[in-house]
Amino acid sequence: MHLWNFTLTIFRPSKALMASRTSYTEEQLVSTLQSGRADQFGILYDSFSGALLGVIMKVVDNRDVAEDVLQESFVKIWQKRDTYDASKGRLFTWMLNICRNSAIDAARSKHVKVASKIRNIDDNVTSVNRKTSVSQNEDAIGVATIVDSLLPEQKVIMDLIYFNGFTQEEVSKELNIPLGTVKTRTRSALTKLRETFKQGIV
Amino acid sequence: MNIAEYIASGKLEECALGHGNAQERAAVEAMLASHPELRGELGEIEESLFQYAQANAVQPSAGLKGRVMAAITEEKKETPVVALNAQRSSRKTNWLAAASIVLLLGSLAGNFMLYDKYQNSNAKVLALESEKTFLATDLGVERAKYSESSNMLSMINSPDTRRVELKGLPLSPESKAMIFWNKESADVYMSVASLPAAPEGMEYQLWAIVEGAPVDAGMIDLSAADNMLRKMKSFESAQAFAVTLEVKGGSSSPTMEKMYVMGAVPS
Repeated sequence: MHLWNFTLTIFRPSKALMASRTSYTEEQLVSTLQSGRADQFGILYDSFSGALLGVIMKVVDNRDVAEDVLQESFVKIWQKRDTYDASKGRLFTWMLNICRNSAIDAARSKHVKVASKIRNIDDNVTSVNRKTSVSQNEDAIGVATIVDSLLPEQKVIMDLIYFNGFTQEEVSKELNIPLGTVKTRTRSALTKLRETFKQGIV
Repeated sequence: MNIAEYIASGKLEECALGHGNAQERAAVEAMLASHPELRGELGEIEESLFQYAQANAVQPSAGLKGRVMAAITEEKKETPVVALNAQRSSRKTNWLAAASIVLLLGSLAGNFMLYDKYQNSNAKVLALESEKTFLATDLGVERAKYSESSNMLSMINSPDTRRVELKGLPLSPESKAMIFWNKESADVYMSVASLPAAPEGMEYQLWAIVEGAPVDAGMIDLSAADNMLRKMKSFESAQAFAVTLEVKGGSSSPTMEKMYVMGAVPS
């Protein structure tokens, strides 16, 4: 399975990776946000809703609640559109922070179990795979490869840090792993992601 | 620290993950500003993270986009500028309303005070007017009295006026009266010095003796006798005057046995 996906990635490189945002560059998306045109906001929704809902669902494990959080987050993104500073980072990173914070607030206020925090490594891996297989269409087969390119222990750390907003110290406590190990694994995971991504766009 | 070392330090990754405190983030931003090539590096990290998120994407329900777009459109209607203006104008309206209420209350209090003063003044004016009317009436009365008195005085002092002293007769020796008779005008005035109170149903009557015969000269009302002088009937000639007690209303001829005083006109 792993090998099959990997092979596919090599033969079908960037198409699948860029499938969801083929028609818009980062600059176009930023100017769409900053134009303040409500009728153009659908472009941002189409470009990011899937990835953002994926992040939110890592935090709140209930699809209805997660979709409510996503809607609320898009409204916040719209309201805060003037505060986005392109020089400080990518649009998606900014949007992800808003979604993640909303999701964490919702998880706390609605007493929804914070997903993955109490899971062991194996559970988490299966969970990611299941969600991925459910959500991806055949065009995104290559995307699954990115996930599979990480070692399970790298994936857990990435999920906790990137999706749940854990600090490396918190991950260290949560998984009972030395902080140094967490840092090493984070770095190696990011390096691996970049390598896979570079391979994809070559 | 050269660029390669900085990249290897993992600072950019932490930045892309949203980690680090404000100070650390500011340091990364300063590095990005001074080394534009780091920006490409950071962009690559962010892109790979985005791809990782995409790999974990969950497609939202079909209806969610419509709900989000409706919420955005709703939000758009209440643009911040309008909201600010509305707030400002409503604050202004509140001020105006408060000021109006204060002015209205002030005006009401003022009106009430003025109305009260007006009522007081009006009452005073009415009192003064009635007092003036009263005084005017009084003055008229006094003037009439004065005029009468001065007429009487001038009549008494007139060289044409005769004083006729009526002396008490044996029936009532203490009684006294005086007649002032002006032969020019024929006016007769009488002053009662002392007469006993008239019994019930009886009245004193003055008689003038003209050519030896008594002629009615008028009734004497003692009860209203606050004037010193009473005007009686006029006579052009008379030799004497006398007072008798008669039934109320007077008699055509005197009751001789009830004669109280009498006096002859000096020649």
